[in-house]
Amino acid sequence: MPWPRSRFLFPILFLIAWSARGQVSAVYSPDGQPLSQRVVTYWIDASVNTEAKTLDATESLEYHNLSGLPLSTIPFHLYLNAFRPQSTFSRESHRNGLSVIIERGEQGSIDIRSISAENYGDLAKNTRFIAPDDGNQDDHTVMEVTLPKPLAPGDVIRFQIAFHDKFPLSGARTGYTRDFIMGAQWFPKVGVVWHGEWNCHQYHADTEFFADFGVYNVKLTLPQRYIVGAGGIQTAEQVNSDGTRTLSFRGEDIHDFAWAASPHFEIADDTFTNSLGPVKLHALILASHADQRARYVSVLKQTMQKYDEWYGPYPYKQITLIDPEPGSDAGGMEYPTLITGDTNWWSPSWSYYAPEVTVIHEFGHQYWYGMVASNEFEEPWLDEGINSYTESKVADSLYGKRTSLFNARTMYGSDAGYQRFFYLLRPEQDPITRLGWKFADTDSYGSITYGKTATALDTLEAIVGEQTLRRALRVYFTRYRFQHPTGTDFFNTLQEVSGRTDLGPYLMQAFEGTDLLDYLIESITSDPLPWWKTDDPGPPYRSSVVVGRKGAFVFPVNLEVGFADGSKEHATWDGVDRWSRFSWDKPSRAVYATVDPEGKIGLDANSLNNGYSVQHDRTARRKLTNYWVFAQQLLAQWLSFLV
Amino acid sequence: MQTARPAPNLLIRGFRLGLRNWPCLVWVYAANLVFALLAAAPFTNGLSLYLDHSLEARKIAGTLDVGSLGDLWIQLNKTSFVHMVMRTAFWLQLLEQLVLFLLFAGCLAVFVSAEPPRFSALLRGGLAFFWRFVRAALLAGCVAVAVLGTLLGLRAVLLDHADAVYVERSMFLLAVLSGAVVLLVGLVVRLWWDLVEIYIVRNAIEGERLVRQAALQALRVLSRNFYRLGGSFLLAGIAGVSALTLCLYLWKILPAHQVWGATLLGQLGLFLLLAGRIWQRGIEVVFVMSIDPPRVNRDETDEIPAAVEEEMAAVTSAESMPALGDPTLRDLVKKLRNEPWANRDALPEPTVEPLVESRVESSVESTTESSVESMTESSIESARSDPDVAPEPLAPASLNQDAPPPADPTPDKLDPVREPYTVLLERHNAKLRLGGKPAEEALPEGPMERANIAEDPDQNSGSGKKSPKRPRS
Repeated sequence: MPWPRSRFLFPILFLIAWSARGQVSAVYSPDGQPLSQRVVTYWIDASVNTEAKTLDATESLEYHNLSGLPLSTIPFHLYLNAFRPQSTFSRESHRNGLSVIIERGEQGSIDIRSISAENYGDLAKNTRFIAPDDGNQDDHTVMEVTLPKPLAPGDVIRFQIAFHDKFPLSGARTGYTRDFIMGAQWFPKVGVVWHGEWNCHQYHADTEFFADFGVYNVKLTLPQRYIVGAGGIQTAEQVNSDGTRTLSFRGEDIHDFAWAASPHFEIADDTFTNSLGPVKLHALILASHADQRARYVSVLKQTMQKYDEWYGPYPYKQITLIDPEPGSDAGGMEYPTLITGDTNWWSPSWSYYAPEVTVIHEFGHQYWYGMVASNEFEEPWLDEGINSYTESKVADSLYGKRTSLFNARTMYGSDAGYQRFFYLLRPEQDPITRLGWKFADTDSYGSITYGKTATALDTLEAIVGEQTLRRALRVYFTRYRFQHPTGTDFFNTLQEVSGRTDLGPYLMQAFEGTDLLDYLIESITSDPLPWWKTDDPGPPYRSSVVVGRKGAFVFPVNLEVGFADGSKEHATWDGVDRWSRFSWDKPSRAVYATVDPEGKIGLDANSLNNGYSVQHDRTARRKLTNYWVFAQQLLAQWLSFLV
Repeated sequence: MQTARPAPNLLIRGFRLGLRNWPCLVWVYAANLVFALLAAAPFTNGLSLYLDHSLEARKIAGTLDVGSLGDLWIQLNKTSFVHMVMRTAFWLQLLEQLVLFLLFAGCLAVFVSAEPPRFSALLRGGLAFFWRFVRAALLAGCVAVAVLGTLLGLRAVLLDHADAVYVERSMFLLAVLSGAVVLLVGLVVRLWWDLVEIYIVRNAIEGERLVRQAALQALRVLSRNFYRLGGSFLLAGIAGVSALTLCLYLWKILPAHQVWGATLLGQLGLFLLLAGRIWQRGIEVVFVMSIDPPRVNRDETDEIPAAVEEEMAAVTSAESMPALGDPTLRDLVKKLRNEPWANRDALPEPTVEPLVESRVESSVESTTESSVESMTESSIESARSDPDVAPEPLAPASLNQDAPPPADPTPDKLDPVREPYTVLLERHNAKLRLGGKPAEEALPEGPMERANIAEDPDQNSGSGKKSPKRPRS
């Protein structure tokens, strides 16, 4: 009977559609399957007290044991506890001269009010703090729960946790500044079973990310005047009678969830269509930066275009860009499907691209960290280093190879040049592949992890070519997205795609070692062939160039020699010996010689000795001396005014 | 006696004074340049090793590649270059500050005395007033720390509170505005300090060497003429900074490799900045010497012709700084001190005192003051251009250093009442080689020493004149 059928069919279809509306997918999945192995599913219902800068929440966590091992303990990150003076993060910050906690005065913390699990009962008495990295028992950033009975492989455990957050005054990455709140590392997050054991590191001064992929369903209740940006997509909004509203978010195939709230945000939405479909660009820009809204959105779209073209599609339906409060130290951060920019009201758009480069870098993390979720604690170069390299490539393509960082009338600078300078600040203290918290200090960590890795990959182009390296990165991304690859996976992919089996020595020296690479022109001489004659007999001349290697790093180099008649000669040196002499018999004398004439070897620690001109040119020296004299005089005049 | 004249333009008169004494500016600038060049010697020598033959240096010589500059910085830091250059610059900077301190003091002495602005005169003036200027600097430093420290503290509290509400542009504007207020107050302190230094030089003419008194006089003058003096001071300073800014702008639009053009523009800017400072000093000197010229001892009973008084005021302010190191000058001063008209205690209050005070009080509007200023300046010019102005030669006995002061001095062809001693000194100067030994009549040399000796209590003992107080430290 058609009538009764149709009578019930409509409500059923409506209910299905309604329920489907609540489960709207946050990702593009070509086959409808999850993009990742969803190990965890979170349901968090949080109420934020914006006056007290606190948060009270309940968290339901469903953990699938896909490790193949029985698990008797489960560790949780409690990273807001890092913002206490006793924590390892504070110790490391203090060691690095950045006493964040002490100077800022206010601490942060996360208290577990209750914890239980289905079929396991109350687990509050089964918890303890552990410190797997440094043994600091006062750290309290990792809590271990001992299960009364092991969790069998393939089983699921459902935790019920109530917790209370106190956000710190923002000194690093998370916390509040004025009425802005950056909600990062704010909830109990389970560790990762990796290589047959739990991998759950303490919160460190320089590293903080490693987690399993999953689904996040988060409800945030805040005063209505607050505008909120968060990971995933917003699925619902409910206005409450107490002057608050509750926003619901859902993120899929992500491994962390962050949010930001401020009453001063202005919404600047846009859409970018990539190879999978439209992506919503949800930019929350501070009212004081309203004039930079277009700048933010424009560079984000251009960057997405480049990444889609070069490395692969961005599969999420939304990317949220937060413009953080000035002075919050929350700028330039990455979380899955949410990034923070960094700008200021005076930043000139016509010559200085630091805000743009920040957006390029942070969006790049959606690939190198967000999807290719390597272990940032143990191999930070896999996300920060590779991302710094791809950042330079994108910035070069958008703003010019020489001028990708700034381009003024009297000076210019490239992003790759900045990475190289960063590397040269501390080039030989730590190898790239060092554990993130084992670096000598923050400067060495930054110099090596960001600068040296990016420069080493840049130098690798001299061996395999830029296009090959780009292709290798695309394969690496495609192969390891939504997984936890290692450095070995990266090197194997590189050798496989390039077809080069001889990359080992370079990779070993550049990534595992601390040796310096420095080639130079040691001398140029041009003598007549009958050199013993006292009068200059004229051409032909024998011109000899001695090329030397100062560092222990061995790398093949090209040599170019220019002659007075305008001709040039080229040679290649394997660079193994400490020096080598190259000679030519030519009708004119050599006037210059240079190793690496194309400037491809970024790892060369001293570019000033790469090229030597027989004729001296004092222009550069005079120019700098003029600056120095001027500065001295001006300083003296001002001091004399004061004294 | 005084006639109404248009109000003087401090900016123009200060500028003229600075212009007439242009060698002062040149000497100070030369010192500034020489020290900078000395500091640059190790700098440029060190750079030559890295840049003269390097192909990479082309990226520095042309439009500056900051990557190459960074590379250079890294290489230089690997050696002792930076340490050596900074150490050299530091010590030379200290030495330069000492020299500039002397030269600026000397400039003031030259401005006040109208002595020819030779380098030797600058140095003599600087040395003569060095310790008093140091004491003034310490005093000003204490005042500046107290005033500016308080203001900066208040500003910090204000900004801290404002930080909770204001961000970015509005916060920046607030910071700039509050900073500008502190800067303005700082400039007022600097202006007061300048005036203290001028009063130190000016008071030396009267034999007074108390820095404290100079400070009080400067404070009084500044408080009564705040807007006029402060405005002129500020405008001259702004002119100097603007000139520098303009030169830097022109420098910026020059092609990057034109080093010599950039050097010339930079030096021109620095020269003009310094000229602005000299201009400020000129303004201050003109102002002080016009409203508060040095007091000279005169007989109240005599009618002083207007012309003489004009000349007196002018010459007093212009030619009262004796040169140093000339023994004959002491005789002259001793003799002058022993003159009855020179004994301040024995005389009623000089008529000029209330006149000066009244001028100070009504300095902004007073046309009287303007006439004095005009007289001062015109007389300075005339004193320079016509050194052989009238006075008769001194009696030989009065120039004998060993001779006791006469009990009843009788002027020889000289009426000390009608002809102030400064006129005598001027004539004396005309007959003496500057900075050298006595000429035919072995008269004292320059005005600088006169002030210096007048401050010496030993030289004043037995003179009957009240000896000026010595400072306790």
